[in-house]
Amino acid sequence: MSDARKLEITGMLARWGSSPQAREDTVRILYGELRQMAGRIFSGSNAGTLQPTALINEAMLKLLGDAAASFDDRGHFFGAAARAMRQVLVDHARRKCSGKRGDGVGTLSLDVALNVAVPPPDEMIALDAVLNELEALDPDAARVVELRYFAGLTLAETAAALGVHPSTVSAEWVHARAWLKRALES
Amino acid sequence: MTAGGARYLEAKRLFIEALALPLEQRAGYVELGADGDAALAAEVMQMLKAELTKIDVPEPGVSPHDIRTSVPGYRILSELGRGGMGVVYLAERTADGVVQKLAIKRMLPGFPGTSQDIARFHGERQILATLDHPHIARLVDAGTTTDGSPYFAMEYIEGERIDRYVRKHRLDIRQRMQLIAKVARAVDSAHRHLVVHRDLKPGNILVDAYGEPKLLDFGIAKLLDASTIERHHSATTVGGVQMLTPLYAAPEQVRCEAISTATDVYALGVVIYELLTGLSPYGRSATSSPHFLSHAICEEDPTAPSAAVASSEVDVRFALAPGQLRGDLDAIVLKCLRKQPEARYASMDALVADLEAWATDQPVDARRGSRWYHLQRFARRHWVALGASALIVLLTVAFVIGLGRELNATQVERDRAEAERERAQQVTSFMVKLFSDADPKQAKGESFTVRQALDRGYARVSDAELAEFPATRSHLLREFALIYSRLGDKETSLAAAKQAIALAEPSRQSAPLDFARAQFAAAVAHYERDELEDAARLLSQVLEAADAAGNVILATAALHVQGKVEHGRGNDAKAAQLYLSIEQRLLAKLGQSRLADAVNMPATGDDRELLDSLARSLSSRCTTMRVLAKPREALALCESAVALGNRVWSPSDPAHIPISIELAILHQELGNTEFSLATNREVIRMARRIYGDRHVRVAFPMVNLALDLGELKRKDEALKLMAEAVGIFKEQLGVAHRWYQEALLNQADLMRRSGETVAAIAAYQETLALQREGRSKGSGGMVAITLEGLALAQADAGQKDLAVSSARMALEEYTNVEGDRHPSTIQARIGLAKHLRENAEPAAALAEAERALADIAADEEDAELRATAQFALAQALRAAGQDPARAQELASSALASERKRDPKSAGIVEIEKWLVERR
Repeated sequence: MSDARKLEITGMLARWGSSPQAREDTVRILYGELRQMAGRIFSGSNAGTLQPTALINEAMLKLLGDAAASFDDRGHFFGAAARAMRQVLVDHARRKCSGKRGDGVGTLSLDVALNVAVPPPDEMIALDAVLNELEALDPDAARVVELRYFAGLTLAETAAALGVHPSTVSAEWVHARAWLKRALES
Repeated sequence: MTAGGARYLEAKRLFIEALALPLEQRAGYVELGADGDAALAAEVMQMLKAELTKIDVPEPGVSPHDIRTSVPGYRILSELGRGGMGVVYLAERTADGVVQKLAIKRMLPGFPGTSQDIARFHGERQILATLDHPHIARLVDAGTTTDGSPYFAMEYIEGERIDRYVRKHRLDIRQRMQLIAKVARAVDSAHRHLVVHRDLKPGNILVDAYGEPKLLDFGIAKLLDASTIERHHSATTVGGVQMLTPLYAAPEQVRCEAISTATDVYALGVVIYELLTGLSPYGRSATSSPHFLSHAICEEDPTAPSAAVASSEVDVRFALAPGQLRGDLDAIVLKCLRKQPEARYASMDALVADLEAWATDQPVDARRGSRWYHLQRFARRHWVALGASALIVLLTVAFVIGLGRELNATQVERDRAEAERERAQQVTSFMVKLFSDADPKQAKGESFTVRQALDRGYARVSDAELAEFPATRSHLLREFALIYSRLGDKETSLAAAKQAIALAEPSRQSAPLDFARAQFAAAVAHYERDELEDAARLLSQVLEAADAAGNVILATAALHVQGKVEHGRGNDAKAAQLYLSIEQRLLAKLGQSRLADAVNMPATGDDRELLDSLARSLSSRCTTMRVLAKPREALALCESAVALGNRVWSPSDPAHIPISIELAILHQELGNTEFSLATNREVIRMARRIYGDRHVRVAFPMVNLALDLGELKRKDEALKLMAEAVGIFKEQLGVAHRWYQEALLNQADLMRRSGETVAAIAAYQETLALQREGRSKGSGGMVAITLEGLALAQADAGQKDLAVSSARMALEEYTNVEGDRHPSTIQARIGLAKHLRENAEPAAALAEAERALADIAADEEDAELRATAQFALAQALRAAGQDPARAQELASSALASERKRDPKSAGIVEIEKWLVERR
């Protein structure tokens, strides 16, 4: 993500709501950003059955449907985007689970999942549950996981979005991942 | 802070601190830090352990430890990826003191492979052994694992998928094309060893640290027998199909037909497409489900890369600009993606040659064969010298195309060749002058649009530029007229055409075709302005002149517009005849006796233009046949037109729009609403791109989409979209236009079906009022349809007496327009009987129902009509309290007939219910 691009988005977010055109531009650019995120999440083409584009569409709808959500800056936006995307993935997993139980497509471990692919529906739901637990205990750590995993941000990008040093994000991320893994295994 | 929260933070602190220590010191540190809290220490240790586990192979029976040592001589480090039956590990071996990293592929542990699977695995090994190319991952070693599975070791490529590499390093167009050319050469090398890869995709092409691409995964590759093309329905290859990545599958793979090297050409075409645009060739709707994707792969023309990147969906940081792709790269990619394997590049070698030609700005083969193309190529190489922007060059090209055609058409007239050459030079120098003024600095770069260039050119030509060359001016003006027509600017179009006629008039005797062509441009403008009489008058003169000169293209063009005029007048049967006569003329000129043969003949040279006209005529006749209630003929024509159009029209040609609309409507009529819906959405997208948001050509598919949505009970969306479409018709055409009235009628029907009865009645009445004002335009049938709808809406609103009078007027209209015994008239009579019955006039209802059944001709083929009439009579008899036995017999007969005609018919349930109610 180039710096010029970042500026552009921040500027657009500031103008969000100032005119229909600004809003439209924002959506258009953000759509590109969201696609990129989805691409990172879905880098394995065999993972999950939800296409990146469908994911983005649903996430955008969720975001824009909430007209009250005005984003002060990029970090807020990515936070909202990541939450929206998490919601989409979890909803999708729930639907899939209720549709056909024991589909058993792929048995990826969380470790693999956190890096490359959407886990199978039951793991997704379990992940969501333990992430909620983590959120209750340590909201900052949960933010990091959301941004890294659901928004697909790199360490540096996550740090920028949260306004902290990358090394802090790194430590939070390693810990949160280990914590989640342990929570999932127990 | 809760107790749990405090404990969490304590564990987190310990974890992070311990993590900074060497492995062997961690346990001691944690124990110390936990200060006797064994549970806390255990929690932290579990997290540390979780953090460490990198390899995770879930198959039962094979522990991670076994995996690590399962290949003799290697140490497995991690898993790189897995597929349906194989898994690839990163491994290292030490040979002569040197540690070497390799990728090891083996069957999945615990995978109960069939003998075919094992054969396929050995096949890949065999194939890799025969290939030795710097851009193909090399086979290094092979053997059997400790648990008895075959394995082989390949060169390990520390690299990135090609698409991610392109993105990350922001490769420009040249760099992307260089990478692609290397991949193509690698595939070509495989083909020379008679190996087809069959699964080319970005995931199988890595770029290493030196920027060199490497081709991987010959897992489903096939050895081609040099003498035979293998058929694709043996057991092993069916397995191969299942493993395919559908996004990159060629039509022949989807259809399980013969696979050849052309299959790889296609897949590489998709890869190139994605690397240039960041998009799939078939767009978003197609990739949303395997069904749509398969359909798109086999049927749909991919959007040209340059058009795809112009859409709003594009990732602007990845995709190249439309101007960079338009022309050569569009042509190269689309040639790779042709549906028929034999229409693609004849070999990977030929593709490589074109990629090289592109890289050196030489003419590419994909576009060879048209003389103007070389001119354009020249312009490209002198781009900077001309000092013009891409858009302007394109416009020049558009004119040069026209000019090239012109020269071609007149080549035989040797005595006029000199004059033509002179004229061509005048046009060229005019254009050069026009565009050399368009200095990017003055024109503010991109804000100088094609439209501005066009307006500027028109202003100059109409303002007596080139005054000493009237023939050239006339030629330019009629081109402007046609372009303005296409842009929807009917006023300017007609003005330009009239000027063109005036300029050609003095030399009408010596150059009759020039005069006729100017008249043709004027006729088109009149037609667009709905001045049908003026159009018809001019067209018959054009036709006469074209026939006298033996010019088939101009003659068929005139006939085609005549057909549209007849359609506009409501004479659809006449229109169909005109289209048919076009097709006959074209077939004769093409030397074919059967339409099917013409549809399949190669589109080369002069034939291309004839086939283009043929496709357009088929498309128009398809519409007409559908309007004439002959859906079967219409569908056949539609399919011929689509097949031919896909071959002779560029993907961004507006001609795809009407035929796609037809296809959608026919599918709608056949009950395939989902397909119709997807097609309509695509058409709207295409039309918006070509015409802009508020053009009537966008409004047509919007109406159709609204009807589809209504069909799917998505009422709110449907009504909103319909209102928008009707608004466009009103704004662009005015309320007196037939199309606006048709749209309004559709809106009224949709409102009625959506339960918006009051609004529906108002809309029907507005439609009727407008129709009655403009009666002369042959809209009798439409008035009747409107009245029928109005009657139904009134009945819904409980205005039963009004419904009866509307239904009676509808019947009168039909009787006047179509005669007593026309199916539509009979249908209207059945409707009247129903409204009478509901209005408690059983005797009158019975009389009309008897008459309706009696009016059906003995040889009437429409079984549904007869069943409907029988059932209506049965209902009328019961309502009048007469002859229950006959009523029973009629209803049973209708039921049997409907069951036979269409087991899913809604009428069956209705009749069954009626029969039960009786008891």
